[in-house]
Amino acid sequence: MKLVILVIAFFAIVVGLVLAFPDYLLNPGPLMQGHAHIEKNCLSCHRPFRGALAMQCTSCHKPEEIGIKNVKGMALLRKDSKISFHRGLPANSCIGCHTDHKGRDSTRAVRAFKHEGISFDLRANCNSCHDVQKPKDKLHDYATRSCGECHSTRAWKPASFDHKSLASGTNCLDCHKGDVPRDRLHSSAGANCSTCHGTSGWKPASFDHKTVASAQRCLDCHKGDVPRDRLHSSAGANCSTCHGTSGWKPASFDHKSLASGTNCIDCHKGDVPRDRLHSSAGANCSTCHGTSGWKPASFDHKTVASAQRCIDCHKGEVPKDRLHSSAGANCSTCHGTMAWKPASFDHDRYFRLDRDHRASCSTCHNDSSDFKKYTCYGCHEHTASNIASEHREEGIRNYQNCMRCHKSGSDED
Amino acid sequence: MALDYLLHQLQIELAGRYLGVAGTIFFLLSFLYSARKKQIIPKGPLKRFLQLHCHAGWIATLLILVHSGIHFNAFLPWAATVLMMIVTASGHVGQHLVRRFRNEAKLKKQQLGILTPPDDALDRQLFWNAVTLKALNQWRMVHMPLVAFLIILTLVHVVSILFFSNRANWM
Repeated sequence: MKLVILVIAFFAIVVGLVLAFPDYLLNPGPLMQGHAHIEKNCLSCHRPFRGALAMQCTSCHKPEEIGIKNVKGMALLRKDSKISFHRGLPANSCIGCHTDHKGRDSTRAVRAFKHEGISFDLRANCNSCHDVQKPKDKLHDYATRSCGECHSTRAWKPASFDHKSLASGTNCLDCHKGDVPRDRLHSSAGANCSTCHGTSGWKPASFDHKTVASAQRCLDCHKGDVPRDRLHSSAGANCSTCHGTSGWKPASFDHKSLASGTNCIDCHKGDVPRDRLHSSAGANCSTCHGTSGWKPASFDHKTVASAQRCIDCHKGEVPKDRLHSSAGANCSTCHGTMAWKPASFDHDRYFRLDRDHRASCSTCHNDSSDFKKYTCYGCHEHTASNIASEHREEGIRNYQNCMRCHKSGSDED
Repeated sequence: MALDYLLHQLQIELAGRYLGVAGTIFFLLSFLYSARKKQIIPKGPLKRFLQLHCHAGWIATLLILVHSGIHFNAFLPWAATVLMMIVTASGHVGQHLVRRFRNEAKLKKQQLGILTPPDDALDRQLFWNAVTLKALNQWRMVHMPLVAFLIILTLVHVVSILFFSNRANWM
């Protein structure tokens, strides 16, 4: 029973508050400045269970007086395009464009304007509403027809323009005067932009360097394109020594043109790798590298000190497979100094690792500094005394080099 | 909030209005549990109705939150949203108490050596004997008025929307 009383009391309080303060409790947002005085009186615009209706708007705003007089009947000083625009609209369409509850700052229609809602005649004559918005440039002077040929009804940009519609003698600069860059390249160009540019966009642009006078220096036009590195600071103004006219890259550079005393590092400082191999190398890159490219590179291992271990320089290059994990630091046991491949190691050639001989490398090669040395006495079967007695029974006395007779790993061979 | 942002980005924020309707329907569904308890619905396992109550309540809360769209407009719908959150939180407290009751009932059954499968009548008997009952009764004294207040705020909100809105703008 207590609960019922409590609920009824709460209901009465809520309804009472709603009726007393509808602007706070129900209002989805403040009305615009012009409607502020009717903020508490919701029924000025809303009809019960029918919402806001255009007929409520027209009870104050006379459609035929919009833009001419205000709601009090006083004449407006400044008349604008609103007059003709509103005359072309049906009287019951106010709500289609205008809304409220969007705050005091909003003054006009805040709903997205739908051109589909206006009459066909009015839609065909864009200028009747947008004549003030039309830019006063030459491009738009040409446009005498409907804006819709270039612009959509959603927004002015992006706009399409069919250059084919222009008269054949039309000068590009008549419309695009403001678009011409003020650099030297363009200052010497003529008024016919189409020599380099297409009609769909300024970029990409083509440029025929053959049209340039032979005395013209590259830098006259490409001044801003020169990189500020040492390589280019010592280069002359004639870019064509290294670069072609179709693009900066690829570029050729003739190292023969350099003075004989020029240090490679002077220009290639940033190109030197920070690995151990290069840290111990001198400034003369040409010892290993050619001038046409960093790779392939040659390296004379004879220049390396005899005490130097292969791994000191080639640490990162050691494969992590089983074969190499048990190999020592002396790569030259298998590899040459010319290249990693081909490598001189074919176990089948010396001794086949068949199913009876699947042992780790160190079982036979117990001297890791020299893999050429081996022993067969590393397993139980092949003890020195066993081998000696078996071979003596056969009358074989020279049996110290096992591989000489047992290359295939079998007893018979 | 992310979902509301997505609705605005896709320019289908009107869908938010219909989420309000869907949320209200889920809230109404959650009342089936009360109907079962008051024997308005005579048959059906109470456990399932309680599950429906909890799940429908959750879904309704989420839908209404997206519907409210974190827009600071009129006070009444905001008050309703805040109260809805309080009611949902209160529902969780209730859920916790019921879980405690179940554990206690299970323990008592074990102590009494009852190993038979769940029996509604026995469960009810144990329920009334449980220590949790007092706490659950006190909780109901808070939960039920809050639910009643929420119904009133929702009702006033729905009626005010129907009273002032233009149905043509709902499409």
